[in-house]
Parts: sequence; structure tokens; C-alpha cells
Amino acid sequence: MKFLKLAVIIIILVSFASCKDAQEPETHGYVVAIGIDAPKPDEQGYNITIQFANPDKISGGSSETGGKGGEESIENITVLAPGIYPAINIANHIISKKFVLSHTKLIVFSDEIAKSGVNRFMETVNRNGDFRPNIYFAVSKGTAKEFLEAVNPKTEVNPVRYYTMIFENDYSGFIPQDMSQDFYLFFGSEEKSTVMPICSVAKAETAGNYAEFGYQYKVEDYVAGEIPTTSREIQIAGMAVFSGDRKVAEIADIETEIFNIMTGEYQSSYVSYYFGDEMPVTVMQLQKKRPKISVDTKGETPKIKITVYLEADISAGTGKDVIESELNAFSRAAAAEIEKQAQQFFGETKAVGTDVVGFGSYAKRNFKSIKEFQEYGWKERYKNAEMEIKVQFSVRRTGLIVRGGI
Amino acid sequence: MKNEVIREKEMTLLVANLLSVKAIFAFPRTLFQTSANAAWIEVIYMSLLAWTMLEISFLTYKGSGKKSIIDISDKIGGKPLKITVSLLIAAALSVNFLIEIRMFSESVKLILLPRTEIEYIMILLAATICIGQRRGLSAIATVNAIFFPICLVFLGFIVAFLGKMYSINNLFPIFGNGTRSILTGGFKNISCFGDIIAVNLLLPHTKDISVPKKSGRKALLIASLTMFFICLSYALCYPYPLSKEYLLPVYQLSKMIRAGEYFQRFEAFFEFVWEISQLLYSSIYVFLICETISKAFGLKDRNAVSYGVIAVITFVAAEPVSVEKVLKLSHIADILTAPIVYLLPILIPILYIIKTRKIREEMRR
Repeated sequence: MKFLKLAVIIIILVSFASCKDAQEPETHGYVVAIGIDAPKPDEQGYNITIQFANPDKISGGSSETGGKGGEESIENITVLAPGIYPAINIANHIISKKFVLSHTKLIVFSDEIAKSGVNRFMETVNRNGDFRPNIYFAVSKGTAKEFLEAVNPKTEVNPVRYYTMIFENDYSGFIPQDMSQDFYLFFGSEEKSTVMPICSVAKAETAGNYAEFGYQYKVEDYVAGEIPTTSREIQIAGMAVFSGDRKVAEIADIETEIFNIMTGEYQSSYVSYYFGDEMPVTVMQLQKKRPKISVDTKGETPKIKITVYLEADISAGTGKDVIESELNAFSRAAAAEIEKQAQQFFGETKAVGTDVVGFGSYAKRNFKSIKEFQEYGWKERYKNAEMEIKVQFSVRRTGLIVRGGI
Repeated sequence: MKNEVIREKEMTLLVANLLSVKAIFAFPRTLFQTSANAAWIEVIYMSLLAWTMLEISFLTYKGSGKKSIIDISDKIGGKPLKITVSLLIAAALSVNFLIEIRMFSESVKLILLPRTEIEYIMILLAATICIGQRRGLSAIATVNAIFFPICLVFLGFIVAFLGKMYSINNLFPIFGNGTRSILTGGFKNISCFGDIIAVNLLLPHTKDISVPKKSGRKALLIASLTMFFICLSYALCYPYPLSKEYLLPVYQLSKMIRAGEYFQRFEAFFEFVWEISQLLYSSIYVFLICETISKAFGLKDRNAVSYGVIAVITFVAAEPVSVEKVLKLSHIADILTAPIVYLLPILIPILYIIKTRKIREEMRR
């Protein structure tokens, strides 16, 4: 009996070790990004670009010399298919790797697809456990294929980390700090409209033309692809605004920062304010406290009150003592500038009837049941909402220098 | 058959496991379908209802003593009533159990083993349950007393790590689909805590009458809090109407967790909690079903009964073609089993008390 028990245990242990169907990491094609483009007029389905990691070229891969990064760490393949999974199926027949989606970090929709609706793809992401909730969605100004092919993660060996570093940069306000989970949580809801970052390949006409660009609230507003840089690679800036699952508008980078400030997702960044006729004063702007929002739905038109709390540390000034002696005036001017930009931003969102900040979520508090809220018709009423924006901007520190006899 | 006696702590955790497993699986979805994001209010209401029923059943213990309803029904109506009551209880437990093991196997297939045959997963589960319940009540209770608190701690981690994702706005409008939906939905969904009948069935395995009373209350409190925190966290993370769509809310929650850049993929926590509690739950459940059937027909060998029971339940559980059919069946089962599991532990002892009073009166005469 003892022998029989031992034999059963050994058989179970050996059979459950599963060496038979073991899979090595280098046999997998780890999909890091997916691009979705519209088909040509005579085609049916979508042109789906699958960008996958080349494990041998990534640090920690099986290569003895270590990772290489850059273009070599990723490969792209484009297939014509009716959806993401059929595309994976086709690609599995072309590339000698088994594609897995568990490391996918980015799904890029071409502008055309974004305008026609992305519901079908949201359904795929939501329904399947393969995708993580913290992947990113983006809208490409050109085709998604062009964008993914231009990606060259020189500074990162691991392509997944490259996307993480770009989309989760706490020190940038140009990209909406909004993950895919926020998109699919709200794109079908009545309380909020959704956004996606805009990405593009740098345009030839602006590439190489380095010009003054940055966070100056009085300088031009750019979207991805238009930013003048010396780089000829990709740019991610601004946001596409969605009504339901369709893209209806574009918001440029400065206004995207305003969006981040209004949602409270903004962390910090260097911002240059023009104060008087001097050169701009650059501050390290921080949002330590989430905005205070209240929505009054008693009247015909909703009344929205938003108080934003920002603080700043002066990083670079004019070299004169004007800022130190006029800190209050500077704070008031900066606050007024942000208020003006915010009014402009909300004006644009109201024009297209998209409550991207999600005031509807606050308006819900005034209703006892979902039915009552639905009957109120928030999205329609938001178009005429009265906005009261208050910015509390305070300069906390002036760096290691204090001038002006203070 | 040796009567195994379990301690108060073991019984508390045993019953708490039985009551909490539904919260970890698909049940929160049912609550969100009826009350939307006010499901957490419905949980409070349901808990109060279940508590009331439990306290009423405790009132009858004075008259009936340390006897389960099966033992009492034997005293009231002899074998015919004992068999009828036992079969009703066994049927209610079996229906709940077959839905639960099918859903568990389907969830394993969905999340962990998408290419494995569902039958294979179910057979493996059945084999594990056989081993578990063969060890007897004391062994199950001891293992449960070790692992179930660990499962609760892991569930606590999931709820705590989600803090950053919580949005208080998701709880509004405060009454979700309306107060009427909460009231009617709570009444319909009371079967969630239906396994509280285990307190009565385990009565003969306790030292004295105070044990099941204390354990029942504590277990219901643990299960109510578990369900409450799961529903509240889920409501805070997922806005309506999306919240009513996900099959496994706790799994969705664990998928959302991200503590910094490196601590991700917390669903491993969920899978741990899920598998351990489900296996212990299944073992307890099969024990209860087998003991009920054994008592009904006066059978000595509970193990022999258990093989048959597990085989039949696994076979029947594999019958529905799709998950959608299992979910539909579970709604019907909830409605049918709730009266049995809540009313029998009250009605039968009342009948017994009436009968004993009559006998006493006749004796006095």
C-alpha cells in the first residue's frame, strides 16, 4: 500500500510538472504596441500594426552581450484583419513567435479610426484578460503604422519601459494623465467625456527648426508633430477629445496642461510666465492639492465652481530684483493667466459638448437616483454651464537667491 | 459514525468562509445589477435581514437544544419528515454547490487556463474536494482556521492598495437605481447569506448551545464586512453602468492595483485567496451535503456517500453549455433555495416546541 501511495505521488508530481508543454520566453513575441489604421478603399477590415519586443535584444534577454535597445529591440508587422485578435492570429502564421498581449502598453488609433469610433476595440480590451487595465490609448495624427515605425527607444533598452516613461511622466503636463482604464470606464457614461493623447511623427517642415517652445502660457499652442525640435522622431503632446467613442476635437499642449490642472492629475513642471516686458520668469509649478469642485444643478443652467491650488518655486528670473519685490503681483498675474486659459479651454469643450474634466460626476451628487440624473440630461446642459474659476497661485520659494532687500 | 466536535473559533471561520466565498466570486455583480453603485447599501440591508432571521432561529434553540433540524424533524414526524427535510436541505445545498463549482472552474479557465478543457479542471477540483472532505470535519475546520484568516488579510491588501483609485463620485447618486430597487433587490438577493444554515447543521458538532450562537453572529459579521468592503471598493473604482458588466469584480479590482512602477499584477493575490477559500468551501459544503444525506437514510459510511455526491454534482455542473446559462440558473437557484435555508431552521424547531408542549400537557393531564 505504501509503495502504491508513493507511486501515485510520483506520477502526480511528474505529470503536473508540465515539461511537455513548457514555453520559453524567447519563443514568445511580446506585443508592446498595436496600431490601428483604416483600410484602403478596396479593402475590408483594418490595417493592424503589431509592434513586438525582440527578447534577444533587450537587456535581460538571452543575448550574452546584454541588451541593445533602440530600433533593434522592437519589430513591426502590419496585417489586414477585422480586429486585434484576428491580426494576432494572422501574425502568428508569419512570424516564428507566439504573440502574447500581456505586456501590451500602447494602442494607437489613426485619426480616421478615432473619428469613426473605437468602441469595437474597447470591447476587445475590456472583454479579454490578456490586456492590462493600465495600457495607454493614443490617437495618431498620421497613420498609426507610421508612428509605430518611427518609434526608436534609444534611451531605454526595454520598449515597454520606454512607453511607460513617456506616458507616465509626472513632470510633463502636455499629455493627459489619463490611462486607458479611465477611457473605458467613462466613454459610455453620461457623466464624463473622455480623452486620449495625440501622437505623431515630427513633421519635416518643423523638424530641425529649433524655436522657442515651452510652457509659456502666452506662446503658441502645439499638438504632436508640430513642435519645433531638432529631433526627427515621434512627438506626443495635446489630446483628442471624444464624445462617446468618437473623436470630435483636438486640444493643444498648453490647454492639455490646463486640463491636467483642472482634473487634479497635474503634478509639476517648469512653466515660463511673461511678467511685464521682461524675459519670462520660469517657475517650478506644483499642484499639491486637488481642485475643489462644486456643481449647482438647481437652476436651468448648471453653475460650476472650481478652485485650483497651485504653488511655485522660482527657478529662473530676469537677473533683476523685480520678482522678489513683487511676488504678490506676479502670483496674481499668473493666476489671472491660468484663469483666462481655463475659461478658453472650457469654452472649447462646451462648444463641442464634451465634459472632459468630469463635472458631471460632481453633478451626480445632487441627485438621489440614476434615473433622476439621466432625466436632468447633463451632457446637453453642460454646453450652457456657467463657470466660476478661481486660481490660488502662490510663490513659495525664490530658490537659493533672494534679492530686493528682503 | 464518530461525532467530531469543533471549537468556537473554528466554527466561526468555517461558517464565515461559507458566507464569504460568494462575495469573492460573481455575487457582487448581481447586487450591482439590482442597485447599481448603491450595492454597498444593499449589502447592509441584506445583512440586517439575514441577522434577523438568524436571531429568530436562535430563539428556537432554547426549546430544541443541541439538535440540528434533521434530528428535530425525526422527532416530530419520524423518518418520512426527516427524509423530506434532509432531501430539501441537500437539494438546496447541492444546487448552490454545483453552480459554485462550475463558476469556479469557468473562472479558472478564463483567467489561468484558457486552453484547458473545463471538464479536466472540474475533475481535478472534484478530486481535491474528495481528498479534503475525506479528512473529516475537524481537519477541514483546522486547515480553514489557518488559511481563511490569511485569505481575509490578502483581501484586505487588495482593498487597501486600491486607495489611490477610489473616486467618491462613483458612489453617487447615492441610492443608485432607487430605494425601491435596494429594498426589493436586497430581499431577492438574501440567498447570498443562505449558507448560514450551516450553523444549524453543525449544531451536533459543537460543545454546547452557546458556540453556534456566538459563531453564527461572528461569522455573519465577518461575511457582511467582507461583502460590504468588496462592494464599496468596487463601487468606488468602477462607475455605473460598467460596474454591472464584469463577471468577477474582485478579480477586476486586483487587476487595477498598481503600487509604484514595480508592484503590479496583484491578481496573483486574488488567485491565492480565491483558490484556497474555494477549496475549503467545497470541502465543507460536500461534508454538509453528505452528512445530511447520511443522516436521512441512516448511512454509516459518509465517505462512500461523498464519492457519489461529488461525482453526481460534478456531472450535473458540467451540463450547462455556457457561463450565461449558469448565471441564469444561479438566479433561479437563489430564489428557490432562500426559503428553504432561511425558513426551515425556524419552522422545524417551532413545530418541535409545539409538539413537546403538547406532549407535556398531555402528560400533565
